[in-house]
Amino acid sequence: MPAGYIFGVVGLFIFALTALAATLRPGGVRANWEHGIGLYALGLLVYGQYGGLYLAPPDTWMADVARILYVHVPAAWISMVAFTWAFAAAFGALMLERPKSLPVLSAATAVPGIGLIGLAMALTGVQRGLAAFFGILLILTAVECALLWIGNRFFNWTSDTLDHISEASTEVGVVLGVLLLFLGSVFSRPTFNVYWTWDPRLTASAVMVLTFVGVSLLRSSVDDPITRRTWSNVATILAYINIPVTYMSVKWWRTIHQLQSTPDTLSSDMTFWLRLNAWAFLFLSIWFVARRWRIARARALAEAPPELPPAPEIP
Amino acid sequence: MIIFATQGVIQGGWEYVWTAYITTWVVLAGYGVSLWWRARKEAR
Repeated sequence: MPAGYIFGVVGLFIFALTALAATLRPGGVRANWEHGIGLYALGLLVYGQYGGLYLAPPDTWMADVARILYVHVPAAWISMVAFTWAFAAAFGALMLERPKSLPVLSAATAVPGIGLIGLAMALTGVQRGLAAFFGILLILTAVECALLWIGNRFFNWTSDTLDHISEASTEVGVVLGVLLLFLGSVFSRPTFNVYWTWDPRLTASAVMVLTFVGVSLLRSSVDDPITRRTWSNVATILAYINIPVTYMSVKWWRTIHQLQSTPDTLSSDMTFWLRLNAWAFLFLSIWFVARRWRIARARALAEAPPELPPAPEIP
Repeated sequence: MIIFATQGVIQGGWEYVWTAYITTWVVLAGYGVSLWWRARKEAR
């Protein structure tokens, strides 16, 4: 296993263990269970940033300026991951409004999904790519519907639970997205000689952040909780359409922004420090989302109408 | 132009590197503090 993955496996183990222990604890979920993963993320971040600054080798052409990539690239990756959480949670919040339909929906999407994957194996070129993309999309939908059904039946997940996760993930994604744009601008000046240009990747990234800022503004501008939940979750799903476009923009319309690097195009030392910082950003984002989710839940409880006293018995 | 670009190695640039890393810490720490502050406000 490459060394960069070990830190990720350890972090995922801590996350899974603390989350599971908190969920299964008799008497309800333990408060602040997420601090374990937060502390681990902080340790990784300190080590990763030190490595990015002093231990990673300088780039062949960009020399020390390439060290900016150890913060810029993780911010880019994890902002997209946070928006993906927001999208999945928004979809889940809408689906959980009718939880009885989930098993049927899961089966109805799994069957054509498996069929499309089978079809993709027999096709070639663009047709193969399209069949595989929609096949995987349908299978992911089926898996999410099945997980939602389990969560609703055994762990008391409601539409509000998922709505609060979507709200939290959107905010964390926006924070990382703004950081991504700023860091990209700082990197761009010594390497491309401009702070900003209307390159397709840069423009798509800016649109990505602005659309999710719009989702957050929509959420804060609607008073009725049910209308707010529905509108903001639909808006989150619509805003997410831009994410695959942003990711693919460097391949489709390449101008100034470089193509995605792979372990084949980087030295193993650079790959290690990049992965380490990406894990640190990921686990820190999990901590941020968990903390922000608690705030969203507390606000929802505060704005809920007080329970009515029991009706007097009619003699 | 291409020959010039492939022969050049960027010199210096540490001020940009420090700007990027300090901004990252300020933004992440600032957001963490804002979460702590808002959680306290909601708890009251």
